[in-house]
Parts: sequence; structure tokens; C-alpha cells
Amino acid sequence: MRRWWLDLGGFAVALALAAAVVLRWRSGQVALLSSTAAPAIRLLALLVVFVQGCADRLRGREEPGGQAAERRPAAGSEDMSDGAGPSGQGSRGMSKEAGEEPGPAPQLEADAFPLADEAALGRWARLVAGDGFDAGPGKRLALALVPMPEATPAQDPRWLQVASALEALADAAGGAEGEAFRTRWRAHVEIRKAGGSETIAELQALLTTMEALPLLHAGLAGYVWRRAAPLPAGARERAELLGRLERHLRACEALLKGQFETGPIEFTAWRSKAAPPVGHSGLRVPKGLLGAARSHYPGSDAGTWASEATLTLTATDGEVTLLRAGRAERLQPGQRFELRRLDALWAGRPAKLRHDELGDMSLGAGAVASAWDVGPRLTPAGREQVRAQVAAAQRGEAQALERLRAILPAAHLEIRRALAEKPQAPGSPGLRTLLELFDG
Amino acid sequence: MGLLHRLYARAAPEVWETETRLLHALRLVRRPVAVQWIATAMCDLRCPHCYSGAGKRAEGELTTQEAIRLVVDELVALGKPTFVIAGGELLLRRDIAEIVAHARAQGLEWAMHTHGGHVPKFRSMFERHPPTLAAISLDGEARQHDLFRGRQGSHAAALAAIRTLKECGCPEVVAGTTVTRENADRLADLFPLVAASGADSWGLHLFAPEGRGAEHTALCPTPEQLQRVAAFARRKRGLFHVELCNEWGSAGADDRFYRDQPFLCGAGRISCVIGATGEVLPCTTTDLRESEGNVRDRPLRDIWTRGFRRFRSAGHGECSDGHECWLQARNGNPCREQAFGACRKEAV
Repeated sequence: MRRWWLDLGGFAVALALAAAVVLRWRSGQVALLSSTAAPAIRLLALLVVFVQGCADRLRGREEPGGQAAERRPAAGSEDMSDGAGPSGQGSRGMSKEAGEEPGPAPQLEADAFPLADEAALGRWARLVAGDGFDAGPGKRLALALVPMPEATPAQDPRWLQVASALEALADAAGGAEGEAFRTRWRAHVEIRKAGGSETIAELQALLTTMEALPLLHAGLAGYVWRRAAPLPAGARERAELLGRLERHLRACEALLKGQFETGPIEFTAWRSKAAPPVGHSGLRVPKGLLGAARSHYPGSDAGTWASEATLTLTATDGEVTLLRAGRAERLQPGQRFELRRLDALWAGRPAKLRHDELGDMSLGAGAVASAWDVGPRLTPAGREQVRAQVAAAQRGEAQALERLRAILPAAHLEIRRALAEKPQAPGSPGLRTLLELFDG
Repeated sequence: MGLLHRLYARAAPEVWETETRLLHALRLVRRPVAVQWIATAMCDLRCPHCYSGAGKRAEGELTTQEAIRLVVDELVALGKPTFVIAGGELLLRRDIAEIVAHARAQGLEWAMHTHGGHVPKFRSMFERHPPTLAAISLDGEARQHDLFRGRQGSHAAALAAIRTLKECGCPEVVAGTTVTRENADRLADLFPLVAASGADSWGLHLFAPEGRGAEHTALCPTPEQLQRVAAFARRKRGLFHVELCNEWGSAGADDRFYRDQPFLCGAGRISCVIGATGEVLPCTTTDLRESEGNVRDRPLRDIWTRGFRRFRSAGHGECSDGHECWLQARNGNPCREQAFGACRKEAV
């Protein structure tokens, strides 16, 4: 009996709503959406989109090359999440020789998403997410340390900020991993304050202590790259560090994509008069973030590290091996490839590479080259060309700045030299901004 | 909410378009999320990029009582959207404290855009009624900012305003930089200043050839500069909260690398602007041809509900294109392809 009345009531309400809509249509009137109806309309829209998506998928499955297949982005289209994964990047413009192991391939562990479970994700979130007042401790350390100029004197007050951010991060991490992180990074900061230099092995250790927390942070990974790039290293050692950094940066990209899908990590302040439970951080990690990031990881690349500040080169002979993402691939004579900042080149015997504008560059027997040091390997004529463009940009010529952007790996050392010489020249701010695109 | 966000963020543009179609079919209109009021055309600076050409008080600006009755009370009736007060320089209005106090008493959240020079004078107002968001203009390092703004010490005043507002409890203070041809290549020098200023985030706006800006079209950044700035902003987001504002348009799937939420042009859809004289405009344009009515003639509720029709039907014309900034597209200056086109091509 009661149910009968409910049904009738529901029917009457629906009828009234329909009548209101019809009346509005007839009179050409519009009405403000009420705050109670707004979520219902949003839900309805979500439902429609969901059903449409399912229908499209089904259609795509039924008809090979149907709509779903068409929507998959081709090279040069918008969506980075499909397609251009590390393997795709690695083999773009490169031919593989099956079974061949042409150079000093590094020994990397299996390529798995570094956050193993929800607990690890929670620990990561505590290190990177802000609490509504301050940025996360990872971001604070990055902001203090990454922009710190080379050869900053030990008395500079900015080192205090670095130390404070470092201690806060180690405290937030806690445990043996936190202590190991503190010890390693403190030592690193002391070396920098003293104006000393590290080894590749020490920088590998910095990365290891970071990842053990687990602190996945693109800014700090970029910092490790920047510190390691000018240091001398063997091919295997260099390729191993770059391979690890590539995975680290891919994981950061996957987490970013995951958050865009699931919603961001949110902070809610503790509002009770009672003390919060032990370990309470106020952070809410959205459900499904781990799954989303894991699913993105295999297809993610290293972001701007994979796509920008590259140099297009041609191998003129078959003596050069490209070390990328933990793999070694022999370049064929005449083969064009993009040299990225996370790549290394190794030549077993003296070899040559060519850039379309800047000309030849040479690699001696056993040489290990990277995007950092290709500039000095150019012929004197090529180096002069770079120098002229840097000088023009420093005079304030806009076109020169854009030309330099296209050859950043070959030009960045010359840009640094020019900036050290004339930091106040009219075009120097532009060159500094350009350098950020190489260093970060 | 997590589920809704997840579903929504996964297909935000599609959901938005579907929702728009549904609302259109049901003859319903969304409530605004934010309404900006140009409190005055008065300003004591003469910035060449000023979209409102601010300087002297405009003839027929809304009086205190009109502002309270025709703007604040109407916003309450519209469901209490965020009340954004801008200018000119809003703090040159003598009655601003009264209007803010009334808005707060009605339960309205308020936000403001200011050059910052007068913030210390209003400290007590900010302490009593801290805005939920305050944007302070910062165009470059001290020398460049002061030159651009035409007043010595305006850079120091802007930095002081950021500190004052944080001390007064403003939860989000944004350093806002309008990217022009002159400062686009100087952002690396500005970044440390912004990061150390105490601001919570850095909003990068784009120059629009509107108002006084129309007389200085040479300030429009080049496509190459736009690409470099976008690439710079993307990198710095790992260190500081940098956001490309709406004038940049959509970066498509790459939006996640440049902003916190997917791009959505709110003009006439979820936001509008009330000019100093009461004209209701879709966005911060000063072109009165775009006016949908004046709050002196019709209630804001009525203008919002019946106006802006061209923005609310999915699928035709630039006004319903959710991928461009309407204002930039209107000025023949769509920046999306210029800024992100090449980045996207490289990225995939």
C-alpha cells in the first residue's frame, strides 16, 4: 500500500518536472539550475559519457580499424599516454639487430613500477604532497637545492634553507631509510659547500637513498642528472645511471598521469580537539592511484627529458653504439637519431657523427659521449658557428635564441661560458631561461 | 567525490559537453562559480598592457549602495559564487572595506586582483576579512617591473603586499605575471624572486591586445616565446606551483603538465564580469558590444540566466569551443597551437 503511494508520488514529481520543461520550451524561457539538481545533472552526464564510451569500445572491437582504432593517437597527436613508451622511444629511428649485443649495456634490474604497494604509495605521498600551508618536504628540498648556483660559498644563507629542508625530509621519511638518506645527502651538501666534486658512484648512491624512501621526484632526479653529466664515467657506469634516471622520471610521469585520472592527493586538517592518531598525516591518497600509475608506467616516457633539448644526428659509420634506457644499440651507417639528455654514445673505435647544420663531430676510440659534451666534439667550424649564435643571442637577437633552442645539447656549454663572462648583457636573461630547458 | 572526480577528470571535456547539451535540452542554466566585479577604472599606475586601460575613474561607476544592492545581494541570490574584485585598482575605492564587509556578512567568499601598492593601508580589512585568493601583479625583476609599471618602488610594494596578505591569513596568494614580449625571456631571473616572495603559486597570464594593450600590440609574445615559456613552466612545476592561466587555452591531454585542472573557458558559462559602470560582460573585455545588459537596468540573476546564450550551446562557433580562451580567440590571438603545438608534436 505504502509503496503504491510512493510510486504515485514519484510519478507526479516526474510529470511536474516534465511539464515544467515543456512549458519552458514553449515559452522560450530558461531557469537557473538549482544546487540540488546540479549533481543529478552531472551524474546523468557522466552516465551518458560512460555508456557512449562503452559503445565506442564495443564498436571498435567488433570492427577492426573502427572508431576506437581511429582514435588511437598517431605520432604527433595529442595523447602521450598511448604509444610512445620507452621501448617505442628507444627504437624510433633505430634499427635493431636481433640477438646482437653491440656495446657495454648496463646491468639494470627488471623494469617494474617502483612503488610496490599502497603502503609505499602512502609513504611517497607524504614526501611529495603539501599540507595546505607548505609544499611537501620533497618539493621544498628540490626548491632549495636545484636552483642553487654552482660554487655558491659555504657562508651563503641559502645553504641553511637546504639543510633545513633536508632534515625535514629525512625526519618525514623516518626509519633506517630516512637516516641513510640524511647521511648521504648531508655529505653531498657538504661536498658542494666545500666546492668539491662527487663521483658517479656517489650520485648513484644519492639516487638509491632517494628511491628507498621512496622519493620519486622529477626535480631531484634532474638535479642528480645535472650533477652527474659533467663527471667522467665509463660507458656502462654512465648508461646505468641514465637508465635508472629514465625509469625514475617515467615513474614520476606515470604518477602525474595517474593523479590527473584519479584526482590529486588532498590534505584535510585535523579538526578534532583530541590528538590525531599516531601516523596521521591528513593526506588522502585517491583510491585507484596506484593502479592508474602502474597502468600508465609501461607506456610513459621520461616527459620533457625524452622529447625536448634533443639533437638530431646522423651516424656516418657503424662504430657508434647508442646506450638508451638500459639497452645498447649499434647505429647503422647513415642512420639518423635523436640524441636525448638521457642517452650516452659509445664508440669502440674512432667514429664520426654528423649534424645537418653544425657539421661533423668525432668520437675517439673508447669515447663515451652524452648530450652534455657533444659541443666540444664539433669541428672548429661547427664550434665557431655555435659561438656566433650564442653571441648573437646575447646581443638580444630573438632569432638566434630560437636557433639555439634547436641545438641546445651542442650549445649549452658555450651558453654557460658566455653567461659567466657577461651576465648582464641584454640577451643574458633569455639565455638563462633557455638553459633551464636543458637543465630541468 | 573521489569517484566523481575520477570519472569527470578522465573525460572532462566530454562530460562538460554532454552536461551542456542536457542543460540546453532541459532549458536550464548553470549557476556561476565566480563573478568578477571591476570595482573602478581608477588606477595610479599606467601599465602598457592593462586590458582595462585603467587610469581615471569612469563616468557613472556603481555607487556604494548600487554595488551592495545590485552586485553583492544579487550574487547571494545567484548561489554565492566567489566574488572577485578587480580594477583598475580596487583599493583606490574608498568604500571597498564597506562592500567587502557586507559581502562577508552575506557569506560570500571574496578574492581580489591588485598591484599591491595599497595593501598595507587596508591591513585591518584583510585581517578581519582575508580574501580566499589574492593575485598580486609581478611583471619582472625590480628594475623591469618598475619601468613597466611606471613607478619606482612598485616592485618592492608588490612583494610587501604578498607578505602582508600571507600574514593576514589569506590562504592563497598568487604572484601573477602577464607574459609579454619583453619579459617572456626573463622568467628564469624572475623565478627565484617569486619562489622566495612567500606567494603560494605563480600564475602566468598572457598579454591581450585590449584596453591600453591595444595601443601596445608589439608586446604580444612571439610564438617561439610562447613555446619557450610553456616549456619553462612545465619544468618549474616540479619545484613550485606554477600554473598557465586560461588565456593560454587548452593543451589537450598535456594539460596535466601545465595546470592542476583541465582547461575550461568559463566565459559566460561559469563566470562573468561586471564592469565598473554595471555592464555585464562574459570576460575581462572592455568592449561594450559584448555586454549582455546592465545591472542598473536588469537584475544580475536575469542577465545571467537569459544572457550569454552563444556560450551555452555545445557544438557551434568559437563561443562554445572549450579549447580556446574566448578572449584571445576573439582578439584573433589564439595561443593554444602557438604555445603547445610544437611541444605536443615533440612530446609524442
